[in-house]
Amino acid sequence: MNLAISEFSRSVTAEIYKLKRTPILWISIIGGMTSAIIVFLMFLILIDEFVNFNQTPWAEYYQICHGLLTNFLLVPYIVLASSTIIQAEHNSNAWKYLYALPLNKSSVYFSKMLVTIALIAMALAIFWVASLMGGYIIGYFRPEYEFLDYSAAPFRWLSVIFHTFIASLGVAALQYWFNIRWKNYIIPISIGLLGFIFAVLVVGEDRIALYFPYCYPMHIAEKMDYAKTFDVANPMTMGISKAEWNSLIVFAVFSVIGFYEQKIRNVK
Amino acid sequence: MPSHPFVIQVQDLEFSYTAKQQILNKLNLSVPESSIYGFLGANGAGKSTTIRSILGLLKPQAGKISLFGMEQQSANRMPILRKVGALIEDPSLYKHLSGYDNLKIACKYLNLPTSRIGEVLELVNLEKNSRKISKEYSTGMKQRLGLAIALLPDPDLLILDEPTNGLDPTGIIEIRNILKHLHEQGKTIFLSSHLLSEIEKIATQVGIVKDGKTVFQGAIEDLENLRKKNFAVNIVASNSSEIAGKLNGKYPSKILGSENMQIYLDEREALPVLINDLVTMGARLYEVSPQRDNLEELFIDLTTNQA
Repeated sequence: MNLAISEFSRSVTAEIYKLKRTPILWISIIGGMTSAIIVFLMFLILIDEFVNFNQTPWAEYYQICHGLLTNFLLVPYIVLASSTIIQAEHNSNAWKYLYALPLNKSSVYFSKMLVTIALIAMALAIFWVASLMGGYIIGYFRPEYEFLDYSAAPFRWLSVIFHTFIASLGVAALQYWFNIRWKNYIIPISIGLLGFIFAVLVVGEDRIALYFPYCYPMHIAEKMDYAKTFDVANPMTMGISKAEWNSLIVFAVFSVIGFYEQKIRNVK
Repeated sequence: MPSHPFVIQVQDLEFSYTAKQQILNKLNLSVPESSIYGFLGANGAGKSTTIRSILGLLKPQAGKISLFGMEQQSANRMPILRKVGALIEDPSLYKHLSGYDNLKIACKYLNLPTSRIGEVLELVNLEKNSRKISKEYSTGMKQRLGLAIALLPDPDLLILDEPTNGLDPTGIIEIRNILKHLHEQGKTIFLSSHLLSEIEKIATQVGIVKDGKTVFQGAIEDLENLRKKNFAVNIVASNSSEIAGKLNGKYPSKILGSENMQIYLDEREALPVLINDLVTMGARLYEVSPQRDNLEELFIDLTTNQA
């Protein structure tokens, strides 16, 4: 058991090392920050249309942040990030090398998956920090909107982002599998982007949205009552939603299918 | 260390991707310990498929593969792979990283100290360029880096698939010298190539594969002896078909065209006797040309003409 853990952690460090000099780290950092800056500017320009007085302005602000994140950025980011990471192995002809090493195939498969998911988590964490800072900056320069008079509820906002992360694991596992499966990156990227466009169209329709993994992150935003969530006077009542459960099921099922397929595959 | 007479033993190996196309057809190999085994075959003969099967990357439909006396199956996969270093066709390099970084990644996977990196870099003569991005390496340098990665765990068996492919003569000589050096250290080297001239300069054992079958296997000297017995002469005579009938039984022969035929002799010394016999038989000879006298011809013969 200890050996297996040591092997897995060594594989993870090897995966992290491979990110050196790749654009993916910067894409995640800059992507997380830029999206927060976009919301910040948009909010600053259109602030009168958003803010209702005598209640927390943070709820409106976070709603815009979350909407932008889930409706425009998150799924395309997952599609591109997983392609970038996994295609590096295809481009290096690395599978034949990796699978001829004295390592369990599960270490190779799941360490890379963990690093891909960690990058998604990192981008979301950066977005969390940057959007919080954005809110405070607005509060400082436009005190009349009372950002600084209300609690920013940073951990509630983090919790919302965490739930969004859970809802995106299904897409992450699907895209990971597609990228490992197809050497030609056009295929996984096309499936991912078509899935995203379709998700935007059907997210309002629960009968479809709850069974279509690309919808899950948007579905969280669709169903959320921001005024209630960010009203610190109310106790926090955010359980795991149907979309999140489905996302976890998709994640588990397709991780296992993907790994099994790798395990029995002939490495050409 | 327990010793096995054969480091690699392959018996009746069969592999196909589709039912129509059989890539390996009852292939057999026996690689003695501490040998340099040259695995020869034309492109598409099944060399890479054999190597990938030996490494457990492909699952053969039938046959048995053993390494170090252990059968290649999932229970033995790890103990086998711990003793093997492999370089399969184009080296698997992360081209955005330096040679050193590529070796460092391999060290992490294999749980080796980074001090090993300097040792293998010295062995393949890449110390000076180790910090350069591997994308900028020449083909020869990439190949040597691939070899360095294969050598990192100090394996007992080195499996190299066409390591000199695409290299210039200097690069080929460099790789050859490295392999000779490793052989002197007692390592078993299994090396595939489609160039006999390359194998005969270095190998102690040879296996020749054609259409997924082993057509020759033995020491390099055995191949030399076989060559002596396979001395071919091309004959051009206006009445060649008539002569072919008369030759029947005395000399093995093959009709190549209306006036051309090929006759096989055990050795070069039998040629004057043959010419004498042909004249006696009434052959109107225009040309008698012994075939180029080297292993290359035999190799082509073994891999193209054998039924």
